[in-house]
Amino acid sequence: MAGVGFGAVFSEEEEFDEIPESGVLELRNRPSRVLTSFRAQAGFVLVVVVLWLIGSRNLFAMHLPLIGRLAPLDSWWSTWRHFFASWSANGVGSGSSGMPGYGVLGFAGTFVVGRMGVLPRLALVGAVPVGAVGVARLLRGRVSNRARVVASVAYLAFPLGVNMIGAGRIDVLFVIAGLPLVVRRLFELLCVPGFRSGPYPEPVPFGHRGWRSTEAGQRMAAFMLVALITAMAPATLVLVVLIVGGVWLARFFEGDEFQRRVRPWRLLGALLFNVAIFLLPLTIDFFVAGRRAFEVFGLARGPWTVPSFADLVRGADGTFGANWTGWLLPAAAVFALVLCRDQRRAIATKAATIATLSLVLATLVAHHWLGSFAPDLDVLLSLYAVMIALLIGLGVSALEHDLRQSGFGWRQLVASASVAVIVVTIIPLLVSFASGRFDLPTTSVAESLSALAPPKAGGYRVLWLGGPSVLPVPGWSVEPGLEAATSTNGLPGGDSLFASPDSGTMDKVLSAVHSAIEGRTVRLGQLLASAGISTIVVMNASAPELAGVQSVPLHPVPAGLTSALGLQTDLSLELQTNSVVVFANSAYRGLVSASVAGKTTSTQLLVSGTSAVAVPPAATIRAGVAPASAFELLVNGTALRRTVSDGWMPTYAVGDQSTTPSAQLVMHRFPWNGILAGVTLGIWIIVWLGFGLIQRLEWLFTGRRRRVAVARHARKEDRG
Amino acid sequence: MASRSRPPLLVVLALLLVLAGLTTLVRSSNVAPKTSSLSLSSNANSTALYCTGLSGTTGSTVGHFTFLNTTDVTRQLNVQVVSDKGVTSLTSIKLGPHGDKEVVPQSEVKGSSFAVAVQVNGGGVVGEEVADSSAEAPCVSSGTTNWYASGFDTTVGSTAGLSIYNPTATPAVFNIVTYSPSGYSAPAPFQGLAVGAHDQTVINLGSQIVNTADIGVRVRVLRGSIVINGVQESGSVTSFAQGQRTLTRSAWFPAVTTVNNARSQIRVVNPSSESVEVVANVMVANYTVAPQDLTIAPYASGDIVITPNSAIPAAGYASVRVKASAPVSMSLVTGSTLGSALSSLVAPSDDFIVADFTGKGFDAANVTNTSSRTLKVTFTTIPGPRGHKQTGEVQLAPEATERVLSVFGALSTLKGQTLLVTGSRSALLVSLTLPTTPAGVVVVSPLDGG
Repeated sequence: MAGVGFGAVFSEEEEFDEIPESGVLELRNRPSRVLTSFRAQAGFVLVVVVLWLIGSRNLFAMHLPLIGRLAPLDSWWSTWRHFFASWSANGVGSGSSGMPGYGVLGFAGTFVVGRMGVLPRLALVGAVPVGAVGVARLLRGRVSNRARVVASVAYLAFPLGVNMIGAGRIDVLFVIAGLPLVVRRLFELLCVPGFRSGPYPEPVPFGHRGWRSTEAGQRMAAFMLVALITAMAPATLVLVVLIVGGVWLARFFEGDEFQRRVRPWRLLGALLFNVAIFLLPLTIDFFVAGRRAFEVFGLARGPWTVPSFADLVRGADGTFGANWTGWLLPAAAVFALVLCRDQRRAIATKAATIATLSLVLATLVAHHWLGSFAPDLDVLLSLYAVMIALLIGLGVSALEHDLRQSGFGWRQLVASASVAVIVVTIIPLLVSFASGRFDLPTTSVAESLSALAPPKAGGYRVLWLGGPSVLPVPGWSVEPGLEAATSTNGLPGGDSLFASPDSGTMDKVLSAVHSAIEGRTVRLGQLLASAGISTIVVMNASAPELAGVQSVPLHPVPAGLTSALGLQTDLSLELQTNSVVVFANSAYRGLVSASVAGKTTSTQLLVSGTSAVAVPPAATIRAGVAPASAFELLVNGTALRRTVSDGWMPTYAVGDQSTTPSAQLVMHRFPWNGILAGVTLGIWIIVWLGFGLIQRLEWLFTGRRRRVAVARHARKEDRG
Repeated sequence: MASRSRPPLLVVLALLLVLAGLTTLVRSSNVAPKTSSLSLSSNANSTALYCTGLSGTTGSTVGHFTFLNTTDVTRQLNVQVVSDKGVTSLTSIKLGPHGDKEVVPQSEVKGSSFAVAVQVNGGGVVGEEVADSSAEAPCVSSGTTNWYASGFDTTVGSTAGLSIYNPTATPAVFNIVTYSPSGYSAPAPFQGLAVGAHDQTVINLGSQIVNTADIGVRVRVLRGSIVINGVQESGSVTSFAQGQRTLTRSAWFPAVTTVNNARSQIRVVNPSSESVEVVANVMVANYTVAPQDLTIAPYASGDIVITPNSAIPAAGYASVRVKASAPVSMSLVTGSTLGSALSSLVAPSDDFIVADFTGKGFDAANVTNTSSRTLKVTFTTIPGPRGHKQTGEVQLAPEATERVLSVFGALSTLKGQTLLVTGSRSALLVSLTLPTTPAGVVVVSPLDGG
């Protein structure tokens, strides 16, 4: 057992992890062995946890800026309501199904007793550590505890997590947290060496105890986990394809003994099908969206703003890690790949293949070479981060096992270098703890805009234009590097956290903006007025530059946009800084307006379902809400006949009245979305019950007590 | 299980990474697309035209605006005439296919100077402001935030001014700085000037830069965008200067007069902090002319005299190609004893409109290929309501200049004609002069829809 030289620090003996219990007392006289004892490992983990809490101390109480996906959440009840809603305010209004992400948020809100404001902070502070724990679980039983600890810390130190906290990207943080678990489950299903060596238990009926451990149960658990994460970040499905494809590709070049047990593409097909069922509303929206369907995975960024290939290799989409220190972890992963042998190598090659495929896909997406298929770059980097951490863990294990088998040579040098690299990597992470918020800005461009409301507020929309990585609200692509979204009556809120891939009537707005950029219109304000857009905000950065306080990278919009907007005859420049340009629409006439024949101007009306307002007699009422079929105007309690103007606006003609009529705009729509959401929720509940709970709860339905039911089941088994 | 030979998978992965890394060689830039109303004729929702510079009856640039529909469909124009007094009028005009219409601003509103803003329900409509003195300037489709011009005179008998119109709903604020042979000037009254939304104003350069020749101007717009037209009065000659939006290191002037009794100069402004070497290569048929060079001090202006110049024979039109060691602003000043006319540099483009707005025809009408490769040039007549379209094309040799009528045989004269000239690349230049005595002293800019 005793080793010499450098190899003596790493030993395959289990006793090294349990020195106090070891009977080999001479081991205590050996030179220090780093992180070999449980006490040392636990102490190290505790130190890391404390440091992380110190590094995120300000995230607990600071005001969260309106950047990334940090729009304030609605109440618990409202969040569920968004999932079941028949109409959403996204764009110019949409009857698309409620996005499953609202359901996930509502479900999560249940665990914080409805205090929804806690959820974003939990994500900011806890997502990356949860992911690190996931990495440790991913490697459990395959490498030593020391290797697991090192891999977890490497995952913490990987630039992506810190940058996503600084960018307020809750959706990507959700992926960072859950992806290691997904990888573990998929590796088990794909029989990657070391992840499942034995057969599954005998099949058990659905709903009975033990079903979860069966192959069907394990597959369903994986499917549900992927669906849960995909609800928040749909690009997760692309990661699953990369994982399965990477394992297949690695086996194509270097087979292993288990590859014949699985059919990876059948598994992938089953997974995609089941996730589609679990996320049925999103699936329907995907197929309805037509040419915009692939935008559900992400919008194309401008090639001039995306990370370079070097940044992608470093996993740095932001300020952290975009220097020489960012090369350390990938270098350590390469060293690990070189050192690994035997079963470790079988896992390492698959991890390396998946990491390579992630980088290649990210590169193709960054250059916009896949058309409208542009999965979120940061989500792609999440998979890359998991693989790097996995490789580093395997590398430590290789130092413990494989190095001793070879004589002194280049492997020892590589091993020394990899150890040094891992140690040095922690330093930049420690430096990032200084701000206490991982450089999350203290204020945002959106919140700094005080003059969004038009002088006569009668309901208005704000059109947000900017890069997909800058806008604080999800929207649709106008052209690569330019996303458009709207908010109603002020800043984005909890009702616009997710956007259906189907842009619907919002296409009118997107086409108008595109026309302006191409110089095909000079009256963009007039084209947008029908949608009730009073203000256009062009964002080049998510937060303002404050000297000495915060520095946020600029992601400029396409060059022609600001100049094109400046040429419009009916847009007035209100504010221009490096971060934001704001235009007021002089042609704005209200979200709901009334016009009378013979008069050139329209009157803004605030007409909603909650209260009636007076309208001019013989007026034509136009409402900038879609779809037209969903809305009804009640005048003095009587519904008016609806027509459509400009191809989409519900329009109503108020007849001559002897007195000033009062009108109320109400929505009437059969609750198909609610039914669909209910069915989807039902599917989740039924499948969840299938993990043994049906049997446990059988007594609720049969009226028999549990003991009787169990005894009856036992008698059946005896007879069988 | 023992692994198969190691190299293949690692080699494949390394190769993939190398290929991905090579993509860094592909540079992507964030460049705004070039647009002009001519190129947008087929699918534009709405376009705009802006002109400024005409004066009232008491001024020297009395005239009218002419609008021409180059398309086969009817266009609706909403014409807003604005005066410096803040008075506006709004009229609707329908232009039939290939139709044209004149608008006389002093008939619409009262004022000393006028601008016009036209909204068209599509593309393919161009406009020109034509002074009764035969000075012409194309209308533009957008304002600018940066503007350079050179060659103004405020000497005795001359006045120079900037006619400015704000085409947007944003109040515009701008600064004016000047460059002259004696150097740089930023008069305080010219800083922070403002013009309201859809307003028009005139800035008299002579009010601050007195009795000076060869003045260069830079207008920097701090907020909004504006349309600027330089107005130069010299003796009895009036001319418009459209200026440049960007500086340039090289320029072509394909029709510079060298005849006796005429004057022509290339006036250059150097707005940089370094001295600039300027070289003008003058090409006169059957003659070899030594390059004319000039050194311009920082923040100063200078000129290269083409005629009268003892080194350059008086032999009709010369083609002058100018190169500078740093970006500069250039213009051509031509004239006679009656006075001088200022004409701005025309940038190469891929299409131009040649239209006889004055009814006098042209003395020189040339096409030039400014590139080092052959350029295919297509000519298309834009006939009147009962006319027929005629087309022709020619392969223009690199850096060659040809007379339009000599390469397009379908026309014997350009008088009363409207011609669309299209190049296969943005290397086409069209140069025009009006019939005058001496020849070539009134240079007209072709319409490029920009």
